Amino acid sequence: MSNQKIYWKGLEELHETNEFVKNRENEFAESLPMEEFLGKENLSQSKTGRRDFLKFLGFSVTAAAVAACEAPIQKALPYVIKPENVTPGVPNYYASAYFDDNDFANILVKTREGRPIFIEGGNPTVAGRNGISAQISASVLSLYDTTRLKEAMKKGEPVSWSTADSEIIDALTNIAQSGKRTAILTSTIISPSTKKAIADFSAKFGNVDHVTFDAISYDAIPNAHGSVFGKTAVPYYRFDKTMAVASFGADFMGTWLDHNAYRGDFAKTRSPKGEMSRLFSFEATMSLTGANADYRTSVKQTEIPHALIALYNKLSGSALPATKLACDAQITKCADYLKANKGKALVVCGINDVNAQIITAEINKLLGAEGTTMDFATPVFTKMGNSGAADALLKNIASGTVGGIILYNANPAYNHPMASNWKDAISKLKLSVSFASKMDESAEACTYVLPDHNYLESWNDFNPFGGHFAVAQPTIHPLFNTRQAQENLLVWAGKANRSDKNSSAYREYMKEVWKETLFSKQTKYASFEDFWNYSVHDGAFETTYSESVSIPSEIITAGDAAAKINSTFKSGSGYEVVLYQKMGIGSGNQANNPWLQELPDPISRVTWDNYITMSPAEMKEKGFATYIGQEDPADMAEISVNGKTIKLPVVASPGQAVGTVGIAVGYGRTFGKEGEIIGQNAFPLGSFVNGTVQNWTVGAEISKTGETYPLAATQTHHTMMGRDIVKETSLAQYKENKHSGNHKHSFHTKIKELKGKEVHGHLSSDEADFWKKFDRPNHNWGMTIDLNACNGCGACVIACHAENNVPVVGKDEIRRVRDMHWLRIDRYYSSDTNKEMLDNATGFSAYKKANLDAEIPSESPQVVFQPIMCQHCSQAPCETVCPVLATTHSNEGLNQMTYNRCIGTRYCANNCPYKVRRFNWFKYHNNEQFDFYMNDDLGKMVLNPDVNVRSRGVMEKCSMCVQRIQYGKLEAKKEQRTIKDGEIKTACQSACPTHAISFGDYNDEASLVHELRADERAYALLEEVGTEPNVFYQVKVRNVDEAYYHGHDEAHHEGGEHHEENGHGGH
Amino acid sequence: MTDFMNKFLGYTMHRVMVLSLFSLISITAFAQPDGGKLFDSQCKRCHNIGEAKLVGPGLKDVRSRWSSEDNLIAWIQNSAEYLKTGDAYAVGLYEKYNKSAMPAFPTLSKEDVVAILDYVDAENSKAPEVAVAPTGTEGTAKEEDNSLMYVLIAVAVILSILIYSLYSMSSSLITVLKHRDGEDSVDDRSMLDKAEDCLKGMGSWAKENKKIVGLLVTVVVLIGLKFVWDSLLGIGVYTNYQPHQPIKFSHKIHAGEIGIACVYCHTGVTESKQATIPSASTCMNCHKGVKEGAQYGKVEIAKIYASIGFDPEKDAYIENYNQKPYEEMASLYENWLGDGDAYRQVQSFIQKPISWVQIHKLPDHAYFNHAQHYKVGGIECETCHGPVQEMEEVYQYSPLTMGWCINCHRDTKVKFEENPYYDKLHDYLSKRYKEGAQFTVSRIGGLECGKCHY
Repeated sequence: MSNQKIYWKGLEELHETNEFVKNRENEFAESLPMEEFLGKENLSQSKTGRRDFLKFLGFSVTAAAVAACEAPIQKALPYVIKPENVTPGVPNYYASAYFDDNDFANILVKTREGRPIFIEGGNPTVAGRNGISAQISASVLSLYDTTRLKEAMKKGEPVSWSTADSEIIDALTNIAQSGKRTAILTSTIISPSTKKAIADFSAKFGNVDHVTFDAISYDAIPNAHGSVFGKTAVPYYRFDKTMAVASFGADFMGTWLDHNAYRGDFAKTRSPKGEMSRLFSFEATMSLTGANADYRTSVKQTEIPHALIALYNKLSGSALPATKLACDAQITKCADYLKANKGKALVVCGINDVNAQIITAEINKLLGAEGTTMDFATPVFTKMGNSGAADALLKNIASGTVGGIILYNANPAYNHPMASNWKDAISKLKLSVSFASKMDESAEACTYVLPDHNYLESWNDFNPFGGHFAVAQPTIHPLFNTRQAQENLLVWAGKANRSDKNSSAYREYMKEVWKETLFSKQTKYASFEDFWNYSVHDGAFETTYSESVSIPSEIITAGDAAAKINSTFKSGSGYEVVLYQKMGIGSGNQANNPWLQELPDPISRVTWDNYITMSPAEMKEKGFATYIGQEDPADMAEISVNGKTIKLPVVASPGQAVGTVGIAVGYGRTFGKEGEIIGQNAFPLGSFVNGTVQNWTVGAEISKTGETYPLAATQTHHTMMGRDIVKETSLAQYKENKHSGNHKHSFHTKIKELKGKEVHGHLSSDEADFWKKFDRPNHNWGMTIDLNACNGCGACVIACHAENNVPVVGKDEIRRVRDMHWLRIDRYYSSDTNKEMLDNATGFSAYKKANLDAEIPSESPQVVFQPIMCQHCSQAPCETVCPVLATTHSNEGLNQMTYNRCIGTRYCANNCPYKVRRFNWFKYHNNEQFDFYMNDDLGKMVLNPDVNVRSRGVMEKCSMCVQRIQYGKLEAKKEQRTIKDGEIKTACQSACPTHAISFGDYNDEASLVHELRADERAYALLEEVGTEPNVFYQVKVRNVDEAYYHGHDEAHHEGGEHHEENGHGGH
Repeated sequence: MTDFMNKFLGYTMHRVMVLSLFSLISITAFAQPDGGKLFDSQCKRCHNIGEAKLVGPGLKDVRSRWSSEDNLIAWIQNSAEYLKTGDAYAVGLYEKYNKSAMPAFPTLSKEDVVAILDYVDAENSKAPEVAVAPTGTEGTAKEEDNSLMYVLIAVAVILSILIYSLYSMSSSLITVLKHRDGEDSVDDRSMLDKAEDCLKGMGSWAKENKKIVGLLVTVVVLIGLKFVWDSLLGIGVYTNYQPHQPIKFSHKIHAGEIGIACVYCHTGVTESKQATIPSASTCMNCHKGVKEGAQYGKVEIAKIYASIGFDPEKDAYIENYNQKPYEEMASLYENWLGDGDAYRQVQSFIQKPISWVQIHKLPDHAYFNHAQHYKVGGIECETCHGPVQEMEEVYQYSPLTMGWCINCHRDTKVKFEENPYYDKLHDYLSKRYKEGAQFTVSRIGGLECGKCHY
């Protein structure tokens, strides 16, 4: 009798339960979500049978064949009158300027056939704010936003501009006659011409108050400086002149104040070659600044002023009262370092409280910052909002003394702590006008919405800081029937007449203002037309600023301030809520910009949402899940403070101060496309203290709701798995040994001789290489990335989107790890690696575990950012596995991707050690399922005509902007010359505010990249795999006293025991 | 040491002298103005080299028409100034051409003008050249294709004749046999029956000769597959595509007879990836003066006027043309044309851009740059676009397939000379390969995917 076996998958099958039997016949355990992707119609209800299907198939094949034989008729429309400077196919660049209430930058706008497609930072002709941020880079897409208002609206209905004008003028006159006031509420106005227009408007009606309110307030700083320095101004903080910086909750590298200047300036001090600055950060929520700090200390938001007092006491020797903090040792260390760098030191504080700012100013005074690291000669005007005045206005509206309001770049019904009060107040007014170019929360409450042009369609002038007058010029005709906001005021004031949307009324007005005020300040140009034209061409006019002394009536001393701090900054019970801005969304002006929504937050790597950040230890305590992933949704929590309650998911954020939570503002907008309205508005959680709006509130209650919420995070790993992806060292170690932290891998060998050279037991990965080298006859393009300069801001990611037509895939796809970013920024947390721990580990697994344990982020981890794109390997693993030769190598060192050859096997992506290849799971254009911007004609105008839009089923990846390389080469060939180093810039490089990314030709021995590649700090990612990348990284050097333990690195140097014996060497 | 110094100095001096000699020669060579180039760049857009009138008169025998060469030169250098002398011929000329003055050419020296005039005379004394139709590889390939078809048809015809004669032979043999056997010799069966018999006969023959039938079937199937394959390769290839254009613009007249250089209108070719279709304003450079064509009269030119807003009666552009009422503008052109039929053709052009039909369309996902080929590579327009100067209506001359691109890249030599961009590359290649100084585009990476696909 034969022994018969039965095989079963589970007990259900073995026992043949009813359910199992029922399901056995089904092909899939559960129905696949096909309909979700295949269209809106319900497939199961359609009546397409097999025969019909075959008919359709036959018909479509025939139709396709017939259609393919017939040449489709394509029309080609040349210009009727060709503009002199426009050659189709050749880009034009225009100098301009960007300003919203968050950012100012001098920019270059790249246009193709009269349509802006790319914003480049760095206008070479003027010394302004030449770094750009992700938001500025993405602003070009907001121009082509389908949700923009297309005409004037009255109570939600279209109205003609002339009707609106006459009705509004009548209403304004009525208000003036009835003795009530009219308010113009704006965010900070830095435009001299706009200010003049408002003044003209005020003069005409005589009852107008101009109130400025910024979503993010900084009004405590100038007031404090008035008391301490006698200058009521925001100075230009010269981070480029610092050697010691202490930041107390001020994210100056991310979003604080004039951050576009600070990022680049501070990076200049971070080269380990010369003197290198040291950055101390004391903050509650992990910010970019904290992440880049040499020493970061987690403190509660309410403890920050106390920490400042302690620092002041240590520096001045006085004994002002303050709560004793746990981080006293760190404050002492910081004080010592600052003191040692007197005259080159700077302290900044991110709390918008005049007392905290007084202490900060006093510290800076002690450090000799005035005139050195605090430049009052070119003060910054971009943050002039007065939250007190806005509060008063709200009260006046309620009391009935204000009859009308005009909103320009202001949205108090969204971004004021008392947002809902504003909404009610505005809707009750007799006259309410908003100049919002997109519908917003405040405009909704207004009677009239008179949409403004997008900034790329408008003329404007800006005076962002002392002595600098930037001109913004239109780079496209207005797309819709909109009007420049200033023109409205001028028309109502009787200063201009309406023509159509192309009206030049405001430009003429601006010219008049410039003629009167600025023309006389220069001698270079004799005629005003010349002066004007050159100013427009250069993008700015620069003159000297005459400082004015203004001392406030009430002088606050350090002692007064400390006393007030002790009474106001008390932690109390419950959580402290800290509101912060994300790099992408900021204060929410471009909240429905899909590029920015899909930009991963630099710290949490979460896209498309805001959330509560909490310390992992506390989360475990409260029972929140600390992991998020495709299958691990985040837990929802309800947070109540000040009588307001919102529900948000909770995300673990190592480094978050215990007892505090962080929430990003800018989310929870109520207008935009479906799917782009996301998150919750956190502005109402802010508070009013001492008459200024604060970004923190105490006494929040947090409770778990029991619901879960899927979040889309792009990088959920928190360790490097023990591999040398990021290399770090300390400044002291670097000074001693330039190769410190940059150990080259080697392989054990038993051969004695190789290619005529003696071998002593080890082979470097170069020597161990058996591939044939390829020719690089002319160019060898390459990139180097300085990890010391990179601060993870993400401007490069957006620039790459814009340049290379990288699609937006949406939250759901990101969750499925199908993000399309060609360039990603990896964020690694690390804490001290312990020599004993590693040395005591025996065997590979123990070594790895010790490494892993050490890498689990502690309460205050260190953070490293590393931008990763295609490494353009000379021996590319992707190329060898492609069955159709769709990815090949160029003789200029580029790894090429030929989309029309690719059949989508995805072997290449699997074989790529850097995981930089992206697969088009869907057709992301002309697809209703991905209704972001590639689904409508307007949004498609942002596409770069020199780069393909890829279709479903093909692989794509960083091309190192091959279109720019080809363009640069052609320019050189046409002009019969060689290529100048630095002439060709990749998109990411052009956007990088810190110049961390360099691009050039390794074959050119005078090139910067050639020099950087030869630098001791240069290393190739995973060089031991032998891929020979053309992208090099520079070891990150931190200015810390503690030495880094480089594990096996030192073992090599000392010639001691080698980890090979531990089985570790085989990587 | 001194010895060495002397030698060195001597050597250097020698070099310097040789070099200066060379440069002297090149300077003198340079000093000779090139009449042809000057004519092309300065005169060609308004003057025909022969007799035909363009914007200005044809230049044949221009020297003999003028009283003296000095006067002619003065007129060319600054016609407005010369008119003041009151020269009768000059004034007459000015009147004849609607008082549209010839622009001044202050940059042309006396020698330049003489060189131009010499060139004009030399060109006119030449025997008229017969334009040689370029014989591209494509042309011959097409011939082969057709001949293959003819051969196949011929084979098919011969085979059918053979089958028929074999069958009739066998049937007459059968008849003879039957006749000998004393059967009725008269075949009175109907044609249908005969055909049936014939088929039956063939069927039984096929049964007996399976190998031959199998072979025949294989051959037929293979030939069929070849046809299918060829026709599939032709999908998306639009060689000879010749759509009708909204304006009957004749390249034969403009580029051929008048001899306007391609670049004069297709300006993008030196700068951009697109050669660009000229804007209506470019047409107006000449057609401001030339209001009537030899071939189509006023109609086709009126289309340009209607598009751009030019009033041919008043000889002036219409201000704010696009804002003017359509009817007003329509009547303006109707009156000028004075012909209902002609006007109806012009109607749709009023206040509208001219929508040409695109002829050359690159396959999707491919990048092509005109400037690279024309300006850097020095490829003539005709190489790809064919004899445009002979085309009344332009057609697509080249297949624009990848194979066609690649073949050209395999054969074409790179113009390394005089372009310092290529110096390093050329040195490298000369050392690396032993092909001499000339290298094809494929050698410098011209076959790489990423050069055209990104």
